[in-house]
Amino acid sequence: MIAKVVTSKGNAPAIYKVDVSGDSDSLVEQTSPDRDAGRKFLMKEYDLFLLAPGSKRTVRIPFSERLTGEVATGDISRTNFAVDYEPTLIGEEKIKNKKCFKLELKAKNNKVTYSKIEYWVEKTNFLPVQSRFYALSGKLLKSAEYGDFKKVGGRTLFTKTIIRDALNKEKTSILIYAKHKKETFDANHFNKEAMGF
Amino acid sequence: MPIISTKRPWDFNVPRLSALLVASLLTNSSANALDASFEGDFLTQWGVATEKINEKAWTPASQRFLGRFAQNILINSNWSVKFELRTFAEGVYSESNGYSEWLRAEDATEAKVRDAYLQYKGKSLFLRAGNQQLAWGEALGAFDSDRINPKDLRWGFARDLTDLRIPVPMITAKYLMDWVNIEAFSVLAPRFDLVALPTSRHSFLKASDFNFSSLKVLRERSKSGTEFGGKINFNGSGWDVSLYSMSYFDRSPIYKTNLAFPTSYLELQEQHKPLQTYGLLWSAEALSTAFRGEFYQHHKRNYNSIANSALSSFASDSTVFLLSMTLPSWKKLTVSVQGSKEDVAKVKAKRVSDAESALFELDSTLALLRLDYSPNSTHSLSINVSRNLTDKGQFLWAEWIYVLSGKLEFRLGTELYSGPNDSFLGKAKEASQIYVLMKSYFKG
Repeated sequence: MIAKVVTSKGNAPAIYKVDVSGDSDSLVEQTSPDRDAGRKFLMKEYDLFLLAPGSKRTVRIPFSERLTGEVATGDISRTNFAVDYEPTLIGEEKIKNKKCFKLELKAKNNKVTYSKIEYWVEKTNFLPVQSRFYALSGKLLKSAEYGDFKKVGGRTLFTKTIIRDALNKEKTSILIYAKHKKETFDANHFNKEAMGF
Repeated sequence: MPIISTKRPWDFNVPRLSALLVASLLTNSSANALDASFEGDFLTQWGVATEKINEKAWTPASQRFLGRFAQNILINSNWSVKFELRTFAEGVYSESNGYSEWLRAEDATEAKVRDAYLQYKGKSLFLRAGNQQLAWGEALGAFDSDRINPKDLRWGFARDLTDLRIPVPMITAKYLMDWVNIEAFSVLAPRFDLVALPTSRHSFLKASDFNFSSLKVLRERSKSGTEFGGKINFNGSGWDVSLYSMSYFDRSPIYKTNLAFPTSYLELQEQHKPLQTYGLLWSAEALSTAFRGEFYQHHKRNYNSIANSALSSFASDSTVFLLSMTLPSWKKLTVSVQGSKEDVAKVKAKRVSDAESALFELDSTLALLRLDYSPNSTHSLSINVSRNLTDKGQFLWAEWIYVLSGKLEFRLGTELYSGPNDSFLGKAKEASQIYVLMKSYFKG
């Protein structure tokens, strides 16, 4: 699929080609803007590798390394909360006239992007409405709103996320997912040693 | 598709037009079976020296133009071809600031084919033949295990890796099996580091080191012979280990006196000796920090020594330990630190005579601190400080990047060399400069 990140700064949108396999492997290649084209991130479970265009060297970087604007690598390539977080139902709230369950998701380990997430899902269909992301210190880092739900491969998925910085509400990034398609990848598509080829 | 873009004039439409033509010719020539793309960049840099040369401060240190164009052709899902051309001109050499005629003839302009290879990408087997780059190791700001391709060091280290590594003709093969991966290479025409020549600002060789008034170095550009090596990689969740071995010619030269007219003219010839290197590479993540390590041993590497201004050489085994780490980002700031220690067996055992000393400091311990601050996608600042704890030489490189558009960026930077006059980095003081550069990117 394609992920497009538009920031409130009005810069050229960042576009990524995102290949995902199972719950843990993903390969993200930046295709735009031109100056960043060719940058590749490989995420294998909790390992993160970067291949910068031209460097021809694949380098391990901390899993928490950010990617662009207010969007983290984990926001684009790994949003499988069910695998990384332990959910607890902590209440019910009305958000944008929608009756929602409020869940608290606690990180199963310290390797994921956020230590705690507050997550609101619609009571009727369990689709996400909004979330808040917290650091280990308990500090609110950012919030997100989900929209543009579409049927993809028999499942209903959100294809638009508006991410707001907690400190500066004016700083927003819009993350748009498009062109979802089912593909069969070779086993080595997600191999660090294959990134330069 | 509109060929004349309505975007800003600096988005460079002329190469875009020519690249589109090349791409369309290639794609049409084979019944649309090919998928062609291109990318490249232009760079213009102006720098002023911060060190006094000939009693003149703030003299121009660089007036560089660099252009790169790369064409990728995907023949089918397995086969592809890449071709890259780079050209540059260093205008500062045309000024009379002590640059020699032969430096001007060698390094003022260049147009060269860089990557030019045919590639096969199968399920597990990956092959590549032609001019190419193969990089091992993850050291920051150094090429410890990244030794297969020679480096272009004519303008120091403060440049993109893309510009520093010189592609060479070789055949590479990889066989990937997920947790264990095997890689082998053979260089068919060995090439060597392009070291800055005397009278250029980045030269570490001065005529005065040898008590001559004029010094010339003859480059050894290539050698007949075949080089080969291999690497085996093991990886698991959270860790990665590789072992490698290489049989090749040393990329760094040693110097031999070719011609000498005492006190007036000395001519040195570069020589590159056979070398065997064994290494271990690893990386792991712990405590939200990325750790990387390298250990390698050179078997009988040749080093220059100097006694009473006369050059000679000796061979010795040497080992290098390197550890680097990148800490988790904090408020958009990424901090990396690195330390490395080189031990040259004969120097350590004091088996090199007291009367002679190594031409460049050996047995060195290097420390590096790198800060990357990216408050947003428009601004970023990188600061790189290296210090040789043995000879007290230092190198500071700082660069602020201001992104004007997705195709154009402005950079303001400095590279500052300091330390005692006999230290390796202190010898390059004349290369210290402040520069501005504009870099434009295009692709299609």
